[in-house]
Amino acid sequence: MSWIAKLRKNPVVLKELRGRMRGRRAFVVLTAYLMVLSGGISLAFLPLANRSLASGYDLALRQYVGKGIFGLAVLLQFITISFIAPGITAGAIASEREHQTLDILRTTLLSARDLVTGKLMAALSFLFLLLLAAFPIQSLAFLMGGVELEEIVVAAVMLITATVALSAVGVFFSSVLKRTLASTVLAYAVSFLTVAGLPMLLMLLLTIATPVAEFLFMGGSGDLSPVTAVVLLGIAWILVSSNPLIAALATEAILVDSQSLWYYLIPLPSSPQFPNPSDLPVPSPWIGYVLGSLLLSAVLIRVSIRAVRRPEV
Amino acid sequence: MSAIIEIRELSKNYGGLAAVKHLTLSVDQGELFGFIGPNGAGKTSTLRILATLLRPTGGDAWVAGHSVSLDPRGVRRVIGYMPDFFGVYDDMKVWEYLDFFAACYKIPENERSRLISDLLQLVELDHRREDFVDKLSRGMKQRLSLARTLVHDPQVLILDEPASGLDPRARVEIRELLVELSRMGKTIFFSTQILSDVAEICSRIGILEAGEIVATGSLEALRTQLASHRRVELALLERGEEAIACLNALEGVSNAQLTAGNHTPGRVHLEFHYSGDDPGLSDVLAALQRAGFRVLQFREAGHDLEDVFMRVTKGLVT
Repeated sequence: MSWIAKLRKNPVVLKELRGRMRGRRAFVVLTAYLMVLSGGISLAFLPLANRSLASGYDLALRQYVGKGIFGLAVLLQFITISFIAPGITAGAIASEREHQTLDILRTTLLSARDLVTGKLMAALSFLFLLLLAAFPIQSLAFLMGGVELEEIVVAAVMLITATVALSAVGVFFSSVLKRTLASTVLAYAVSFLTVAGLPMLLMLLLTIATPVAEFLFMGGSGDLSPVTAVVLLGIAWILVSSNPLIAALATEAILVDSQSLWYYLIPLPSSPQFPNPSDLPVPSPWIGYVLGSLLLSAVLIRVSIRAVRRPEV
Repeated sequence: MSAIIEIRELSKNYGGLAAVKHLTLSVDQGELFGFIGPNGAGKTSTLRILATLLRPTGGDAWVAGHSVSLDPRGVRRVIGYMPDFFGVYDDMKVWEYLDFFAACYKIPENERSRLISDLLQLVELDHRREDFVDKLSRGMKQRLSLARTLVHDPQVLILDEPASGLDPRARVEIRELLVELSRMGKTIFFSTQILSDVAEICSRIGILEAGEIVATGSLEALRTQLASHRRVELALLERGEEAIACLNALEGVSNAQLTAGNHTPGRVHLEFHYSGDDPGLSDVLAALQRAGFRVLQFREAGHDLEDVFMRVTKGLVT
């Protein structure tokens, strides 16, 4: 059975979507989401558009505005998804427990895997609809130019990954915790940490680490071995890749700087043992973010399935 | 008849608390078995173990040959379980509720519509098909819940207090449904605290107290078991006090006394307990007549289930 057919056959997906799309709720969420996006972009776009009109046709400015609109649209999408995803996934299993329907489901032939993946897929279907609905707003940027196809694809892949990861976090808390409230609080805490906490922490680290790095790499202390340099770079890469916003910015910087979507060459310091070390190719941080997040999501889903499957002791 | 539910030495402990203690019980195919006991007797724990929701601490149970510990999926195929609450889904219509659970039991899509119509007809909810589940009355929800347990045509229904919290009419309706389902060949194992439920419809009952079975059998069999403690009522023309003294002197007679609140003019009503067989009881009557008492009425009072229940249980809870 194909993946899609399996999804279609999963009764939980149909039930969840039926419930979610019924009534005004889905419509209100979609409208509010699009209003936030269009409102935010309008606020940023209008002053720039006025300047652009005043200065006549300025290609560089138009491209700059285009890139800005695109970046802002992606950022706003990311922030709104970070708000919505925990909200609709943190109650997935816990609410079944609270409504005392989980027991009934567990006596049917529905497997724990079908229940957890069904809940996740139903939530993702709605979230992907939000991402898709924002595409016309995003494409305003294409009128101005300046946005590369690679950037659009990478942004889409990263947004989808962030949506999957945040949903997996919500489903995970909802499976291992008994109460929807506790699950929601923790899912939002993780989401907030991802959106704001980690970047702040990274900024702090960078502020401290930059002078050190400058001393090590640029100042040429001379005795830093390439191994130490590689380890330090590895740590920095993991930190950068762990957050979608930072990873996206770093990816964009690499794309602009070296026109490479996949990797970046970092010169290593020379040392007596390695007088002429070759440049170190480092994968672009978006790759790290996508792979890391998907791996983490897979682990969280697995743990969730186990938690739901386990009979009461 | 062969046993379809077999419980052997089943135990369930919660920490240091034993909710079910070495329970051994079997229910035959097609039986309507009532599981009665006070709150905290271990009924729900036993039912949840049978429904594969709870892991037993010791012993095992089999439903249609499938072990609840080793083959829970096999058990789930053959049981329909109804907990003592109704799990409500908001935003779900009556037919959608049944459709969802039918899909959970892998019933093919093209068979579901017919199945749902049949089930709704059975529980007399076909006129509420398009209504939202949370708009139904409690009794209707309970009937829908019962329909839900039937979507995969299970051999055994495990029902935890199906009539609890219902008004008298809804209770009678559920009771009639259970009888109907039993007639259709389903084995029904249900728990209740409402004694009249079991007295009227069950083919066999089990009385559970403090995690242990204290009595099991048909209501008739239980009455016979209790025959050693039979209660006899009699009416005399006169000399009540003398008769009490005479009766208390006879072997096997105890608690002879005037019946409270029964004052037919010209008659004295008495009652006593007798522990003995039928010839012995006949001798008691003969002794009274020999002593010159003019007996108008001499009859053994039937045990109702309440009597049986009160006698076999001691008011213990775990």
